Amino acid sequence: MVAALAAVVGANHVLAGAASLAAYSYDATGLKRRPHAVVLPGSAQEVAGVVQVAEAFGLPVVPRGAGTSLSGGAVPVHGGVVIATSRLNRIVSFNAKNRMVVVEPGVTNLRLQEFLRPRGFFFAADPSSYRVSTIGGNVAENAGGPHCLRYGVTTHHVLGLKVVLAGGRLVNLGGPAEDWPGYDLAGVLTGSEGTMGVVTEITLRVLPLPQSSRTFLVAFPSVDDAASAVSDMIAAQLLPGAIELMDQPSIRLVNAAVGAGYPEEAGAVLVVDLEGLAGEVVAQAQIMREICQRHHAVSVDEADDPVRQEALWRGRRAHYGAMARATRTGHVWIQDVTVPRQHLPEMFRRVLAIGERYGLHIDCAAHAGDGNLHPSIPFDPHDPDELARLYQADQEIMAACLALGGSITGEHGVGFEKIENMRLMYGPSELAMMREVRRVFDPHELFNPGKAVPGPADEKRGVWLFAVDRT
Amino acid sequence: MPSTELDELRSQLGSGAVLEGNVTAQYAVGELTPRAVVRPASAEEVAAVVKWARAHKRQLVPFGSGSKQAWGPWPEELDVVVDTARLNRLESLEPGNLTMRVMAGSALSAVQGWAAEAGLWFPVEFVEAPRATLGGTLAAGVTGPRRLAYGPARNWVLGLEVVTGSGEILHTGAATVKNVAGYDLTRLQIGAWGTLGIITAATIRLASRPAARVTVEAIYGSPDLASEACLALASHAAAPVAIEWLDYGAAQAVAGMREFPVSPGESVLLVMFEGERTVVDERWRLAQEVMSSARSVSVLDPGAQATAWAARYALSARVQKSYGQVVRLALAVPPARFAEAYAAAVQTMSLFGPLAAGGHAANGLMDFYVGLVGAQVPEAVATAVRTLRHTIKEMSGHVEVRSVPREFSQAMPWYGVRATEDLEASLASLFDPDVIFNPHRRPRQSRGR
Repeated sequence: MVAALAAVVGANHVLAGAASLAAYSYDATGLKRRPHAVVLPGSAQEVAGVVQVAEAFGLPVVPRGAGTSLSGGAVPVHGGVVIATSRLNRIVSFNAKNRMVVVEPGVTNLRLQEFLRPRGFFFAADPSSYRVSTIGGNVAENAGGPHCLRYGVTTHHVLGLKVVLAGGRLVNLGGPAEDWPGYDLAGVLTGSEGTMGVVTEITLRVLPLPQSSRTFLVAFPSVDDAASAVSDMIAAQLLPGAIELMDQPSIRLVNAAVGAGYPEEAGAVLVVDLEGLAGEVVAQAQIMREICQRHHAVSVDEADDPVRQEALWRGRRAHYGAMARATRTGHVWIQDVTVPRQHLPEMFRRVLAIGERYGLHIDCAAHAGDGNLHPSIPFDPHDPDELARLYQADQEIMAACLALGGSITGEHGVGFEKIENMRLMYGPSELAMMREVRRVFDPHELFNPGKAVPGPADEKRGVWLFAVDRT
Repeated sequence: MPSTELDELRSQLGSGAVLEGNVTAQYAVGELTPRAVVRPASAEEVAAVVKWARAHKRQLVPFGSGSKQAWGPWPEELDVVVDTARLNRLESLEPGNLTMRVMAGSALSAVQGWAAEAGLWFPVEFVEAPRATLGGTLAAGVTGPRRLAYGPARNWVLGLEVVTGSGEILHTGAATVKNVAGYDLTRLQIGAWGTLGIITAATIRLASRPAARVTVEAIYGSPDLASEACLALASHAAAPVAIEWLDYGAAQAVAGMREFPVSPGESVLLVMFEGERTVVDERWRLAQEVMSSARSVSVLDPGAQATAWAARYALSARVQKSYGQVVRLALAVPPARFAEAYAAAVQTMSLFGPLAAGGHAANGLMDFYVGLVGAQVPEAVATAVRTLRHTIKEMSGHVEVRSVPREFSQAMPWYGVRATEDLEASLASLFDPDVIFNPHRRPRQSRGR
């Protein structure tokens, strides 16, 4: 098989040694499963050839960007051939008049943003992993990020995709003109977690940079006050670029880790970006301050120069990494539940109560304006009792979110981690239909098996799901 | 259709919900009167109708207000129309989430009314017919001029309730603005023209209701100059919410409503700004920076603003009225090719009669109307459409035929060839295995039973 793959991509671009396979066996979840081989194709045609070889050997194909998935999207749970997109890293074309950029999937989000910024544009999705995560990965996961609040998630900006399907068939879905005729196939592929094909080129609509932006760091006595302020901002129809929330443990954590300088005694902080015309930002800031005062805000720090703005954001961006580094074991379970925004304060209360009930420490950070919470729970993978409590708490957090009309994942994806939990959210009809839709594109379920939508083989697996390889 | 067949439906839906006879004429589709009209009041009743249709091998045409039934190929036969008018309830309004759950037979005007009570609005519009229903608008995947600021209809729908061709009720999505659990079946249904199911309810996002609106009307010496201005405006900090372009023919067609001061060869731009009063004024003043190539620029007073937009919205109806026989095309290109696409369309279609065009120029979307003068041969029009389609494809765009007179339907190349048509046909067969819904709108490869 290695020889057959080498014939397609060249021997230099096939990795089959033990060390290489280990390097491509995991993502940000931590679970490790070795692939049979790793290939680094340099063109769509080579991707097609690799898919044909994998099919001939009856092996799964697992697309991989930077491996930052928090749901296991890039882990080859059933082995197979990992297609790493690192060589598919060209910015193919950019046209300011069309507000459109065409990129290969291995281009990182940061590189795209750095390319666009001097040209007066940006790409809306900015996941916390933006420095390393790839546009291919962003498309596969329908990535979000803080600024989705105002500008929408990845799928809102995908105009077209070039995709290799089963049999190595290369197709264009959507395209550079809007309202592409026929069904929205690009919309179905976006967020499908690599289970329908391998994306080899992406056409994106990009947005003009706002004329003015101002960042605020607002401290509150409690999470409840901060979350209630967020609810009021939404109800008051403010349209900030982002509203992020962190609780006290998170504040102290990032202060210690990166010197974020957030108010240590605050029960919670909000990081808010207001964007638009200069006058508009001033007017919105006034409304926002009033709302914050009403909810007992204790301090407001603000900045409108990029360096200071970045400083106010530093703590929020560093949260996950700081958490992982600070724990005894380096293991953090990070949830991604989303609720209708009027229920945000209630969801926070329920999460904290669940943590207390199970004797678990829960830090909470949230894309609060979107109702998207990331309760983070450090745990010891070698402690079976703690794992069992974590599993129960996690199930209850998802149940609480669903009881409030929410979604079990707002932006991290289902991956293998939540595949069992999909049954909590959808009925048998919806799940069967999703599975059949996948089989329209991938009849033999060759692409990234064991992800996104449960099949009969995805039996209940319980606590081993928790981001750990204990072998 | 034997009356015992319909009696089965009457027993399930109530006799008032099944119509036959003269009254069905108002539900004509493509000049065909349905054999019966059913008026279900819930998703469960829609499911019962679908199961009945399966059992009796009947085909169903979902019908909202009927405002877009004339779009697309004319049907060859018409069994039963499913009128969604009784699916017209607001299920919930959540100002704190900026969302609404509403049944799909609700008129867009009703949706806007409910949203307005909370100081909100739904940015998906079908300006040609405010009586259009939410379900029909989503099935057609249309939006209005404000799509420049708000994007396409798919971006404003968080979840759907849909009855499939198997009579199953599916619930897609969630009431959250972010949700990546499973595949996006919501987007798939929007723009599928009812071939993948009957949409019975939707959870939609709402936006802040703008306090003020200003429209700048500008006249450009050519479509090229107008298009350049559109492109500049679309990336400008002034952030107009809509930029509508009209050619001379379109301005003429709506002249009874609004006299645009335009000469042959010139173009009109209507540039709309919305938001807080002070911000709106700042926006339109800023926008002047990139409108200097206009022959004239004027800020419309409220009365003129209303008539200008009413005229724009009435373009389709006015063209139909003044030209009689009309071929309506929908052109889409990357925005920078807009003027070029217009020139190609004019060149290809002008031999058939008078032309008119209008569109969302900054999005690269154009409605192109061809008045048919005298006895035109359908095959000749079809050939011209193919030629134009080829030219537009070279510009990375596409051409769809929106509507034609009945005698032209058979010859017309309604859709271009798509390499993914087999995938679409498989999806259609998956959601509607017995070809019950809108058979005349199905992907071609899956039309047969």
